[in-house]
Amino acid sequence: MIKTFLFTIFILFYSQVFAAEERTLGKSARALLMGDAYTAIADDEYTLFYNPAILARHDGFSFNPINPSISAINILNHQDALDTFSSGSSNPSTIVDGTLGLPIHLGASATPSFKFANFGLTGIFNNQTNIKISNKVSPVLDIDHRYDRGFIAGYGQAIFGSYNSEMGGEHLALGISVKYLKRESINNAFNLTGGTTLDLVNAGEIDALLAALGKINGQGWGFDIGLDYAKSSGPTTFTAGLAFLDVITKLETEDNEDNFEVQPQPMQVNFGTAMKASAGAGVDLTVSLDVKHLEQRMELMRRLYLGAELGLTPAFSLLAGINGQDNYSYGLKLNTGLLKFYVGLYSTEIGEKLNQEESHRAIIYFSLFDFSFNP
Amino acid sequence: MPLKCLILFLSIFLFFSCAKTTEQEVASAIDEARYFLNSMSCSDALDVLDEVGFQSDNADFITTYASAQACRAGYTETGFLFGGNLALIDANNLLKSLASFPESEETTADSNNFIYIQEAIMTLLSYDGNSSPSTADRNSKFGTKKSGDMSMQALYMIFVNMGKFFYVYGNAGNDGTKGGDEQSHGNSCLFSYTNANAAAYINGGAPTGSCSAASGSEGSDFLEAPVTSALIKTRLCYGVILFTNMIDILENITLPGSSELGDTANIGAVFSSSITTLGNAETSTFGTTSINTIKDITSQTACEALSLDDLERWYAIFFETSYI
Repeated sequence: MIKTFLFTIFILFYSQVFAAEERTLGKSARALLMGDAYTAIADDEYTLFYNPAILARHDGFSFNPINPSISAINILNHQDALDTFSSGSSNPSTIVDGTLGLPIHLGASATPSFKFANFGLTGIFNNQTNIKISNKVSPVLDIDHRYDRGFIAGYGQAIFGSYNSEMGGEHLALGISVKYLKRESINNAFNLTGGTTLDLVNAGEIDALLAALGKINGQGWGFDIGLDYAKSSGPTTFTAGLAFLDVITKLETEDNEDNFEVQPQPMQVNFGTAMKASAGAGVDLTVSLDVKHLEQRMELMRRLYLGAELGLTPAFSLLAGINGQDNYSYGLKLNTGLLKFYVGLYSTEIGEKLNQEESHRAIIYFSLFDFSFNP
Repeated sequence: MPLKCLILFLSIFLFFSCAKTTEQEVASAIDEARYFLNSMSCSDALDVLDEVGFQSDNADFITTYASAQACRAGYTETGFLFGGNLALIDANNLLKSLASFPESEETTADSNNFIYIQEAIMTLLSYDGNSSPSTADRNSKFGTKKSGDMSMQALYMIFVNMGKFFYVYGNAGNDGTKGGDEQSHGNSCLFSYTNANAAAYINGGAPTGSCSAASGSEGSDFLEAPVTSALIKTRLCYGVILFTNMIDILENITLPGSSELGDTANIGAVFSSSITTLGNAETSTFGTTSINTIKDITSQTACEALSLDDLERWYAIFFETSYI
């Protein structure tokens, strides 16, 4: 066991290439506020975005019909841009210099889902837009916009032992899911002082604007596979999971005059563990660790995601996490029965190398009329 | 036991984790170079791009590489575009107006700043070693959006370097006038003409501003011995291809409707007319076709393959008339 662990650590250090922001179909607000260390925890409406094998823990019927999530840049963490805006300068050079590298983010998503026994179905409505100006010499407007619509259906089955979220036990489960995706995409970089961008001001209608930016469409199918290990022993529960997301997700781009391609949905392999200790009456502590992107070589610290949730009452929890060495997240959960609510701040790596560029964001999520029934 | 299996599986997977594909490495290198260019870390940007090798089929790589090259000259597009330079452009006296740019005030030929920007221009235009780079080729290869951005990026830098070029070799005054002698170089013409047709044109009373007599020493010291003949030709061709590529771009792209571009939109029409007029005049007067030949030459290599006589005729008849 120790040899295996040391071998794993060696490989983690050995593997160093680079990577930008990960491109996922859905992110749980709870996960983001726990540092996104969620592969072994995702037993909520986001199961199919993290590990389909966790469906094997589910019993009965669950329904989450309305659960919008909105995220946006936390401008308070970008002092240079704040200074530029507060200076009231109208000089384009000053404005561009002050906003170089400012990662503007706006996300809006909803993932209505239901689970029946070990089967799950989740809708995907995910609009993510990231805009950034970079390159002081010839400023480039980098636009990564995608609006995904589709669904994921999955099934999890224990292949060893038996476990469920309420009764506990021990199991090793295998899960698979299939997804269909339609993607509206703008994934281009334009010179800010080039013809395309300067003409945007004359584009007028939003459709003309999107067309000028090179909006295209694509669609396709994909698959996920996961393993989930769970074991409860008295008040503690240990879980571990290995998820292969978008193992074969292939999006075909519709013909377009510029031969642009929609963003691919790359495979992602994540390993996660979590330990939950309960003290009764809704008081519990969950700590989690994910080792992500096993499919590609990157810095060790960029792989590690740490999170914690401290449940103070059944209705109220505090969440915190860290990833990418210094990307902190924190927030709180409020659950009133009809309304489940998360709010907080988080950061994520968006540069090619560790600590080069970070995006600081705020997120708010609420889920209305959650319903579960277990006879 | 199941947990051990899970961790073993993880270890095996880590061992076989994949490096990026070439395409992903190139995209990463471009993004990282742009990040370095945010802070004008030019050599870091060039290093990261050089690591993946030059990508002549990738418009984003080419434009970013050109940015990193121009970065070494301290050049920024917004500084140029919004610094009031383009408002100075006068299509009817273009070369003088370019030489009047504050950025044009060079004291010597082939300054580092001039060469860095020239290299960036060459990267944008001759990315694949094409002997006849053109906007049409770029449109065909990269599509009109990317090609348009490449052309605009090149055009801004061409304006900057044409300004530097005519300021130095034309011995400009501070308003850009040829022979204005702000740097005390003393020359009244761009070049000291020895070709009989060129000298005859200058001496014949053509409207060539301060350049009114071909005495053999009227041109820039940077374009005569002891400068080697090869370097003289290289320098003469810098001016030629800056000009021909500027015209090629202006005649083949739709300029954005930005007020910052000033009189730029009229340049193509003005020079199209004057090239035709002066080309016809050359042919009818001397029986030669240097202007009509050179106007279509857009690569430095092809230009340097021309005879010095052709270049002298171009400079005397076209540039000395256009730059006064």
